[in-house]
Amino acid sequence: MVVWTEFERATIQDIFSKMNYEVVGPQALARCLIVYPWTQRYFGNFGNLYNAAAIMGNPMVAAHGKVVLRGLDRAVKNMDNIKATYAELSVLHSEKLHVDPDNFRLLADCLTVVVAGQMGASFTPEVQAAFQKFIAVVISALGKQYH
Amino acid sequence: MSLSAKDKLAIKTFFEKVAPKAEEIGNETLSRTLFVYPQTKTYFSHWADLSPGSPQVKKHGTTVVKGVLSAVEMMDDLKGGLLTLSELHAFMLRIDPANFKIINQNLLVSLALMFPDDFTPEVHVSVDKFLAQVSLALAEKYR
Repeated sequence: MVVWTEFERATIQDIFSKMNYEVVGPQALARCLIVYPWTQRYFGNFGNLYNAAAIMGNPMVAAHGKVVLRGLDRAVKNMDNIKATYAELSVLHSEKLHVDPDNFRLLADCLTVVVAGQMGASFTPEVQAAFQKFIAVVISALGKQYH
Repeated sequence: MSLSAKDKLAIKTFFEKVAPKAEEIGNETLSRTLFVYPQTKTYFSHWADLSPGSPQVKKHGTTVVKGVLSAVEMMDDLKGGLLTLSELHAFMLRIDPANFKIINQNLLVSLALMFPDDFTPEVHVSVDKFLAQVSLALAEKYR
């Protein structure tokens, strides 16, 4: 059972309520595909991923970035029940998408970098710790149904 | 995953902007490492104050970032250039190399929040590769 402090709850709600999912999602996914190019293996049908400019301008990447962030929103809205909330998504990522769970950490690191860039100095160490704890719980839930 | 000419240019150009803010970046990086990954505090049990922004954290953060900046100058031979620092980390400090990844991640976060416009995805991948190489060179003398 994950125990959240008041500060952690408030911080997560605050970050995500102020976040523009339509911008952050595409940026985080594009960054992941650029910084960790082997993650492109899951997006063979996305067309031109040839270089950073192509990835950042790719409409399928942008669309999928939004899908990912909206998925993350489900955890934000169900912080006390993330494992159950993500049971189906975990099966999807394992059985259908065949995503190596190590990639969740890679995308999470890129998301953290994008959020830090957006929030600047207000992304304090305390806020970073809360954010990374939340992300760690999400990653664990997503990996739960792998076998 | 060695550094291409494009990587080296991106790194040199970006760190020229970072250098004047070495103290601030160092403070952010080390403060976050100690706070977000509390297990790293075990290496500093001899310090009075391990909280973000404390005088010792600021001073040591600067030392670490200046080390990274010096590695930029030695990009063409990191193993040779970082030999002494590797011996220090291997024989005296004996920091588990797993922690290099942790401090690298926090350095990236600090760079992103202090240089949001310059820390583009292309700069990010080059810097990430560079830090991985630095970590390898630093771990060279461990065994």
